[in-house]
This record gives sequence, structure tokens and C-alpha cells, in this order.
Amino acid sequence: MSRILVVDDEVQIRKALDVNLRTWGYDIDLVASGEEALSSAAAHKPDLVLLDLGLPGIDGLDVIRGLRGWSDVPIIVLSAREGDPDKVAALDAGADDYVTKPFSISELMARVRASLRRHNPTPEDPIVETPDFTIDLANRRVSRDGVFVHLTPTEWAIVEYLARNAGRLVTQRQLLQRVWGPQYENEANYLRVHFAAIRRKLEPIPAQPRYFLTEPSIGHRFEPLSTRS
Amino acid sequence: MLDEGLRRHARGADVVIGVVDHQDRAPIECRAAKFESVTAHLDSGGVGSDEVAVDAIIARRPSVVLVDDMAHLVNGDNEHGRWRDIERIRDAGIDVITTVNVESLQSLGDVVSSITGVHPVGSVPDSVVRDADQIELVDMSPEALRRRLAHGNVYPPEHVDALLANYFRPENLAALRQLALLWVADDVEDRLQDYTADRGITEAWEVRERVVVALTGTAGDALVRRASRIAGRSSAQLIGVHVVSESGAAGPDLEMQRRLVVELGGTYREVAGDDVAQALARFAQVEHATQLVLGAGRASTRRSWLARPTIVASMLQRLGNVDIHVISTEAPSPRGRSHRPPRRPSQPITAKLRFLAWTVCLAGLPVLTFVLTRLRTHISVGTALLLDLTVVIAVAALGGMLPGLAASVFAFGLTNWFLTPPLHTLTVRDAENVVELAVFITVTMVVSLLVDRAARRSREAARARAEAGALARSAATLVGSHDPLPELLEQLRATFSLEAASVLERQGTGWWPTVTVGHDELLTPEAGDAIDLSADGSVRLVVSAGALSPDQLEVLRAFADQLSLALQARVLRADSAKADVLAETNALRAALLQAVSHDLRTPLASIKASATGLLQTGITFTDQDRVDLLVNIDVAADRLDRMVRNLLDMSRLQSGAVVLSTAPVALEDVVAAALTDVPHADRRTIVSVPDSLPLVMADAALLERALANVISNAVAWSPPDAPVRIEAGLIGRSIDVRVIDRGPGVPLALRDAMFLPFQRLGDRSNDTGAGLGLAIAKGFIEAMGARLDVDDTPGGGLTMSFRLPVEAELAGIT
Repeated sequence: MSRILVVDDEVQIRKALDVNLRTWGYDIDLVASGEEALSSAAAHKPDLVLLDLGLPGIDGLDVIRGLRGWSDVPIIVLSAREGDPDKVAALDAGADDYVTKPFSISELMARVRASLRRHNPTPEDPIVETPDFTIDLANRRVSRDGVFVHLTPTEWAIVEYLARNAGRLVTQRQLLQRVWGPQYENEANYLRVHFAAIRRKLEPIPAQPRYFLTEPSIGHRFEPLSTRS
Repeated sequence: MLDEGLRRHARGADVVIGVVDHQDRAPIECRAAKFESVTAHLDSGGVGSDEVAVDAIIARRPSVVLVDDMAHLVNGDNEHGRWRDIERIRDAGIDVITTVNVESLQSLGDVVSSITGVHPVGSVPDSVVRDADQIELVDMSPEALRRRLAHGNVYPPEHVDALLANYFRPENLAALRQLALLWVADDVEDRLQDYTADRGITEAWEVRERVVVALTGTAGDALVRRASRIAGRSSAQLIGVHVVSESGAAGPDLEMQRRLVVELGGTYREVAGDDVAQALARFAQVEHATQLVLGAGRASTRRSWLARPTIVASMLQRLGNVDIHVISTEAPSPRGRSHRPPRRPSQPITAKLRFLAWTVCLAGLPVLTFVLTRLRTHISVGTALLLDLTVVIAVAALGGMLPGLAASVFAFGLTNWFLTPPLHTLTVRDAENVVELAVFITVTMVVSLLVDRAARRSREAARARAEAGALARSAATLVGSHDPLPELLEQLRATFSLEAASVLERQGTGWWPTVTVGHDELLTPEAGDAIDLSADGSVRLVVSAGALSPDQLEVLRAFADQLSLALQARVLRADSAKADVLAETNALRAALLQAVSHDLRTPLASIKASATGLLQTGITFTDQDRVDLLVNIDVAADRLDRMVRNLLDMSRLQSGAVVLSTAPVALEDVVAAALTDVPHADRRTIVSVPDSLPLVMADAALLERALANVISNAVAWSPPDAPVRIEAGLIGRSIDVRVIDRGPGVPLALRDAMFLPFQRLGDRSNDTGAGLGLAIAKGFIEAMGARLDVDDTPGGGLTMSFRLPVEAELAGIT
């Protein structure tokens, strides 16, 4: 079973996470500070890290950088503040996802499972199927109700990158860098235009997207909503 | 001093020794040993001396500090009298009992040195001493003092004989005693006046005395000190004035005199004028001076304008209602004596020169004409007229227009009569001579006019230069000043001898005075002569109408730039103050939001995580896990409750909605109640509050909240193995409550900040709440009329204490 490292300075949060994750069958390491987090991660090689950003001593952000120096273990950030610039910084620094406190355990468990799944992929499946459309990564095309949908090269690049990171929160900066190149990483308005076009072409109700989700001022997420989990 | 200290100590005051100069005298050492001593021992140049440890004393926060000899120079540094240290301690709100010898009073320094022949080392400004809450004269007859000296009670025995023969001669002591008695008598009178004024006892309206002392920059400080004493006797305002005249430069001591005037509590002004007496008289009138002090140098009578009897006489004449003191000053210092006024660059026309011009005109021209008649056969009329022309120009240059014109006509007449044929008639035969005479009279008249105008211009220019110089100097001294505008305007008013001046700002249709100085209030631009200070004319400088010549107005216009700058500085300062307040408010709001968001969310997060965990379907928790999650919810809910209560308390405090219901309560009960709010109180605190203490007067609810917050804070910062001690004891008629921890302590510099809301030292620690606790505790304790004090715990840590009054009935018994 997977091993999860929980880093939080709040004793009650640690307790709640410990009880829940253990009951779900995970192995748990509990630590209260960034320093302990780094040494515990090195010693026990966890499969996933749940990390609170506001830590005494070394900061959550520094923990991410420290971990990313040698490990690509999935990191889910727990943050107490909404709209926190630290959150974006954490994602840019290499965190995979975030959850805002207070969070419900089922939401957290879903994120945990998604991250673990991404990290241990079944052999790459070139076809991403959703109830409304199918993305064929090998042949670089999208079909909706059996009809091919025409996407511009930029739209395809966005869809492809999100589909390959399905379920994961991709920051605007990562997306821009990936699709347009490093010098465009602050041009968030480019994304808005292309996302509108993608939603018009693929979403059943473009004004209420189900697949191509935007977390304002943080990033984007593709939810395949597939029946296979 | 020590006796007074002992007396207060006996009454329960917290008395410490700052510095006591015991000179190895056993009786003093014995008494001083009764107090705690906070003294810094300085070791400079091999001579050690005890000095006041200002910071340590302020940190120690006693109620009274004893400090010997406030005139003592710290490290022998002339600029650093011990009185400055004392002022700092007083500024921190601590009472100081100190001593000063009569010879150290600044205004008496020169008198004392002339009596005793010894110039006192170190002095204290009179204003500092007069500012004391109480002054007690320690008086002793000269004989008694000499007896004490002889017994070796004051100085070591080996020095006594020499001292008795010199400084402590009976006549010296008698004179010093008289000075001291007079000085204290003055002070007593002042206090009596303050008292009557406070009580609204109004006698006949008393015109404030104003003593003006004329300064030339020579004769050292004696003149200023004398004037200060004259002013002091009648509680008068002292004004030092220096007349910047174009014909005489300031002496070398002027800067020192200026500083001294200011130090003695007076004001210093410079005015410009070529006629010193006239300028001085005008200044005295405008300032409504009641007394004028002039110096008369003995050694430099010839040079010093002040010494000339004519000037004193003319001042008496001009200033009928002003008392004039002519003070004999010592010969100026050798430096002063070698000083010579610089050569006058351009001579304005004075009476003396005018006299010389008339002499040349009336005597020179006839002599020249006589010589020319002798030589008539050798020279032409034209040559003669050219020679006359030289003389006339000389006369005009010396005496100006009138003598010049007279000389011109006179020379014309003489030449016509004695030199042009036909001789001895005013008729002229040759046409050539007619032309020559006509040209002569025209040229001489034009020259006279031009010379006169040039002289007038140079005079005006010199005056403008002097005025501009005075203003520029004063402006330069004000560069660093906080709000230079009023002082600048005052200097301007004095320089131009104006009755009044003001700066007005247009507001709507009316005018609003930004600053006004002088005796009349000029509230509209029409009330006087106005000069624009801003391009759109919305800010104007207004001076008394008709007081200034057009040239002076020019100088004033140039100076208007300085005023504009001062005005702008004022506006900018106001803006930046506003911006600071806004920024502070914003910062506070941001801190509030962050703290609330973090501190409310954290317990919420554990509640939510535990509750949603329990609600999950499809998994089964063990019993122990279920209990753990429920306990989790309970603890977090308590924490949330504390947090919300703190926020409500804080908003009550900030909106002033705290209502006191003071009643006698038993302190030990309140402490016990407060401890129920402190996590792990049983293990982390030791209470020693005897139940034999009298009841305290307090609002039980507020006191409990305050105590809970102070104790929680102490517990949060203490290591787990060092419990927080809570102690209380009776001191006088109040109960002193102390919460003593052995945590890391708080540096002195942060002690004010720790009471601000949302200031948590060492951010992000999760046990201490939002940093509201101490702010609330302080607010509640102050609402009850007490004060929350912070001290170091001896041996490390922080001690917070406050005092509550005991119940009134019991106070009588205890």
C-alpha cells in the first residue's frame, strides 16, 4: 500500500489526517516541521506528500524545492488562505495540487487517489475518452459523437498537455511556457481566448464547463470524468 | 536627596540610585546602601566615574531615581551634561530627585565666576531647573557649612584647608547663598503666579515684559547673561537682536551669542539698517519692547557704536516708554580686539561727507578762481572751466545732488564774473565763451544728478543685501526644522520691522490665514501689501500696508520662494502624515484579515476534516479512532470559541464599548477562574496568591479575561519544564499581581509592539492565537485604571505585572 507523509504543524489536523488515511489503508508518517519533512522523506521514501504551506522554521515552499531536488514524489499542498500567492508559487515550484483548508476528507481522498494514479500510470493509453468526446493522442485528433473536431495547432497543444496531465492542476505559467515558450509566461490573456474556443468546440455547455476547468488566477485542470477510475 | 529618597522608600515607592557621589563619606555610603543602585561605571582616560545608566534605569522602571549633581559633565564632554540624561529619564515617565549647585545655573555662571574667581565647570539651563515639579533650597549658613567642611563631612580631610582658604571663604559663601535665595525666590513667585492663573484669579491685565538685547558679536556672553537675568526678574521674554548694517561687520562672538540667547529661552532676530540706532529703535517699537539692553565696551569705546553717548541719548529720545540699560561689558577678548571692521566698500552719503562737499564747494571754488585770475593770460576760459568741472564733480561725488548743483551754479558765476570778458559783469562777449559756459552748466548739472542717483542706488542695494543676507541666514538655520514657516515669517517680519505679516490661502471666496505673526492680524490681502506665493495667486503673503519701499518689496519677492518652499513642505508633510495613517490602517486591516483567516480556519479545518472523515461511507473506524476524531472536534471548537471571544473583546475595546462594573472581588477566585481557560494549567502554572489578601476593586469578568490572556501567553512561551508563576502581594494600598515566565523574554525595543493587536512575535506559531491576547489584556487592565508593566524576569524570561487597588474599607485597616 502507498505511504503518505503528512506535514502540518497543527496537532489536530495531523490527528484527523492520520485517523482517516490509516483507515483508508495508507501507511502514514506524521511530522510537524519542514526540517523533519525533508529528513523523513529521505528516510521513508513516501509515495505522496501532504504539505501545509505555513510551517514554523523552514517554509513549505522550501520543502517543495528541497524535495524536488531529488524526488518527483507527488506533493499536495494544504493551504489555509484562499487566493494565496504562495499557492501558485508552490505549484510553480513543483507541487502537483492543492487543497484549501478547511477541506472535506472525501475531497482530499479524491485528490490523493488522482495524484497517486497519475504517478503510477498504467502503460500510456493514447486514447482519452470522456462521455462527450474522445482525444486520440497518438493520431493528434479529437472526435465528438464520431465526428472529427477541427482544433488549431495552439488549441491542440493546450488540449494535449492538459490531457496528458489529466486531473492535475496546471498553472497558467506552466501552460504558457509549454505551449508558447518561456518568454510568454506572463501572457495570461492568450489562454483566455483559446480556452473559450476549446470550450465552444468540446464542452456540451460552454458557459458551464465540465471538462476544461479554470481555477481563477491559479491554473487549469482537465477532468476526463471517465467511468474508469 | 537621600533623605527624601528614604522617606519615599518608607512609603512604599520603588526608589533606586542613579548616581550618588559619596566621596567615600561613611554616613552617605551607609544611607545609600539601603537602595538598589543602577549605575554605569565609565572608565575614560584612567579616571573612572559613575554615570547614569539611562537605558538600564528606563528598563528597570522604578518610580523614583536619585541622581547627584545634574550639572556634572559626562566624560567631561561639554555638550553632555548629566541633566540631559535626567531629562531622558523624566521623559520616560520616571520621577527624578536630583541636586544642583547654585553656581551651575547657567544664568548665574558669570556672576559666580566674578565672585569666586573660579569658572564653574558644566552648567544647567535655568529653564530645565525651573521645569522641575518641586524645587527645594538646601540652605545653610556659611559658618555652618564651613564647620561641616572642617569636620571632613563634605570633602576628604586632606583637601579641606586649601578649600576653606579659597573657594569656601565666608564672603564667597554669603554671596552664593544670596544668589541662590534670590533665584529660588523668583521661582517661588513664578509658581505663585501659575497658581493664581490656574485658579482664574485675574489681576489687572499685565503687559508681558519684553527685553530686547542688542548684540554686536563682541564682548562675549556677559551681555546676554545680564539681559537674561533682567528678563528673568520680571518673567519677561528675551529677544536678542543683531542689526546687520552695511557699514559694520558682526563681531566674532555673534554665533555664540545667538546660541546662548536661544538656550536661555529667548529668541534671536536680525534686522537690517544703515543707521543702527534707528533700526534698533524701530525694532524695539515693533516688538513692543519694554526694556532695551545695550552693551558699552570699555576698551573699544571709539569703535563700538553702542558706547557712543549720542546713541544712548538718541535711543532715549526715540523710545520714550522703554527702559534702557547700558551694561558695561568687559574688554573684548584679544581675538575680539584684533578684529577690525572691513573697509567700507561703497560709502553712502553721510552728514560728514556732505559737510566736506560744502566746504570744497564754498572754499575750493573761490581759491581755484583766484589762482585762475592770476594765470588768466596763460590759459583760456575753456581750460578754466575744465578745471572748475573737476572740482564740481568732486563736490557732487562727495555731497550728492544739492551740493553738486550749488557748486555748478557757483562755479558758473565765479567764472563768468572773474574770467570771461568783459570782466566783473555777468554779460559775456564772445560767442565761444557763451557756448563754453552753457556746456559747463549742463554737464555739471547732469553729473551731479547722476552721482547722486548712483549713491542712492548703492545705499539701497546695500540695504537690500543686508536684508536678504539676514533672511537667507535665518532660512539656512531653519532648513532641518520641522515646520519652518512660522519661524521664517517671524524672521521676515523682524527683518523688515513690520507690524504684522501673514500667509493667506484662498478658500472658496474667502481667505484663510495659514500663519500670521505680529500684532495686527492681516486676514485679507487687501489689509496690506500682498505678494503672490503661488502661480495662480491662491496663496499670498500679506505685510502691513505701506511699510516697505519698492526695493524692499523686491527683496521680499525674492524671499517669497523660500516661503513657498516652506509652504509646500508643510502640505507635503500633511499629505505624508495622512498617507502614513492610511498605510497603517491598511496594514492593520491586512494583518487582521490574514490572522483571522489563518486562526479561524485552522480549528475549522480540523473540525471539518474530522467530521467529514466520520461521515464517510464505506469505511469503518475503530472505536479509538472515532473517539480521537470527536475529541479533535471538541478541542478545535473550544479553540474557535476562544478566538471568537478574543475578537469580540477586541472590537469592544476598539469601539470603546467596555462597561466597567467594579466591585470588591477575591483575587484568588479570579485567578482560579482564569486558569480554566489556560491549556494544561495544572502542569504549567504555579499559583501563589494567598487567600488572606484583602479584596481588590476590579471588574471580575474583565480581570479574568485579562489574566487568562496574560497567563496563556506566558505558558505558550515557556519551556514545558518551567512552569509559569502567578504571584500576588500587598504593596501599600494596592495588590501587585505578577505573572512570571522563564521563556525567551522580549527585547526592550519590541515591548511596545507586543501589545499591538495581531503582532505575534515569531509569526506562524500555532499555539498563541492571533496575537490578540496581550492587546486585550492591556486594554482591559487599562480600562480598570491600572497599568500592565513588562519587566525582565531576573535570570531570564518575562514578568508582567499590574496593580489593583484594595477595597476602600479594608484599606484603612491594613
